[in-house]
Amino acid sequence: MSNSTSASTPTQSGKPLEWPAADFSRVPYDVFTDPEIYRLEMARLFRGAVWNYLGMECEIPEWGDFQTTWIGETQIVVTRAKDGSVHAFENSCAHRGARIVDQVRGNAKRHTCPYHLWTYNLAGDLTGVPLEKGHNGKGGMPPCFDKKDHGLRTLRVATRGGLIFGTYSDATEALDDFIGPHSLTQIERLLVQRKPKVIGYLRQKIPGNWKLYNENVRDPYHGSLLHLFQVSFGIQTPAMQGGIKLDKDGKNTWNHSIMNDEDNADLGKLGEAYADTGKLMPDLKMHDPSLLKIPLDLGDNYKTTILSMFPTLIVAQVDNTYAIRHLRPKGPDAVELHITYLGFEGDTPEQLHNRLLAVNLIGPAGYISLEDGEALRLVQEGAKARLGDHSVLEMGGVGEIQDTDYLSQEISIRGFWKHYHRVMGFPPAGNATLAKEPA
Amino acid sequence: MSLSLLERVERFNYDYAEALNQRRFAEWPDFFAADHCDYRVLSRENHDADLPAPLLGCYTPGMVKDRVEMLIKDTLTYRHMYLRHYITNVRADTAADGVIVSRANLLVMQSDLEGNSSIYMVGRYEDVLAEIAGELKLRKRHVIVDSFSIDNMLAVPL
Repeated sequence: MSNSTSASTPTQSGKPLEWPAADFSRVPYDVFTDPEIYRLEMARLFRGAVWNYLGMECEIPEWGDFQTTWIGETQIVVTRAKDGSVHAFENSCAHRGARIVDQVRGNAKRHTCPYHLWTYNLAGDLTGVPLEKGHNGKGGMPPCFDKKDHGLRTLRVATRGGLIFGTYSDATEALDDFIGPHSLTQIERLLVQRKPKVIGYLRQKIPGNWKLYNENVRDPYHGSLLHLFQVSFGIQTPAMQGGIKLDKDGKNTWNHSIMNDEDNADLGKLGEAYADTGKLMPDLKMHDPSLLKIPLDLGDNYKTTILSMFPTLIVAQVDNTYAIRHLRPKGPDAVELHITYLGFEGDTPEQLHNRLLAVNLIGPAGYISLEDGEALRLVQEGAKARLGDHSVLEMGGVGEIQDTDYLSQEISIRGFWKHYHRVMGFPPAGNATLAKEPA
Repeated sequence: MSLSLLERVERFNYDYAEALNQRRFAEWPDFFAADHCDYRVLSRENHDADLPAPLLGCYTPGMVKDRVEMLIKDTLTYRHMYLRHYITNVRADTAADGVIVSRANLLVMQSDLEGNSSIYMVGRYEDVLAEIAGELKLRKRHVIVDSFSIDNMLAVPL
């Protein structure tokens, strides 16, 4: 990380960006809307000391299999080479910059730019330049031209539990250290003890900043308030046991809720928790409740397990659904959510049917998750006019950023911001003008 | 005047769309056969790659009712938009077993509460209809959407 940051970060409003609270219980709204901050994120964060999610190994099992993905605004090609190794490079020709691979996924033993047919191997090395030596002794590349100097821009790749990651920085710590022990344990539980296979992709364009989604998945406080479906049917309620565990930086959160039949015996008793909103619907019934009767196939009573990993990866078990969610920022005010929906090798026809039923809980049409896109839209709309002001993160306590054994908290969101602030190289938080804010 | 099969299927589609567009959600299950039916919205990306997961799937008449019940009872928080279906290129044929196999193109425009319109969804219907007590009912409606990068949410069925 460079220390080249000036004392103040310029913003659209012309005022320096302020982080008034050292515990990150205040977040400047400008980070969700400001084009200059977005530009800095692309440069400092996504090309900095982070491991960016690139896909799953099971998506490119064979020699030549490839898929494209995104790191911030940069499109990346991920390939499987003949020796089984996984490579990642930018999808932009070393010659004149053209996009080389114009498919989402496929199989190719080499990649050739359509424009002048410069050809690259599966590691991104330049292997062929048409007319390199000219024609009839005339033309061609100059003698000093060496293909070795004109490979594609590659990333350092590492894998864990079938997840593929790439980084631009030589300084990025070892992948396991970056992920942290709690997430490693859960990756083992969710993605390794059974062999996953993709049974569908879901894509969702959300008109909100990519960091709002990071807040959303680190925010179990909203889980039983916004998502009344999962309260009414006992997937997550305020009475449920659960909590969060953070990695050493606060950037990666494991949050979970645990099923306990007693918690759900009488949802009516929860009325008080809902204050006077009138939103609790304890008597909601389904005409066909089979969606709610799918047994948890891991048999360990976790109703939800959300691994929120910095900066753009979420591994999620919601009830009996298993999915990877990946964020593609598209400007300060939009993000695309790419969901890889998983089944497992050896699933019985009944289990597959149950997965095609349980998908009704998640994704852009999910009884639970469709509401998150709406919440983000509303925050983005509301935050536009609040430049120079700050959001409030105090639920669950302020001060130290620590693990909890309760769900109604925003501490894990503060953990995200603490790390974001550090990676972005912003001036120290907490020494600014909180006192000047109107009471 | 007796309507041709094609005209009957077109009228069926227009009535179906109007129930949704006018937010008469309680009528939507009546367009499906009451004994068994299959309604799915499928991403073209998955459909073409033989990946089975839908965006949403109702495999029984009860599940069809539940989809709109959540809208009627206001269980879900979602963006309220004016929606308008345009259904074209309708084809309908009677199959050997007497059911009607139909396909159509689908365009759905959306308009927000301040009057700004945009394209919400492009796709196609792949249907199987049965004539039950003199009325057409859907045994199967698969909505295969080209616009599979969903514009924020899919709360109201297509």
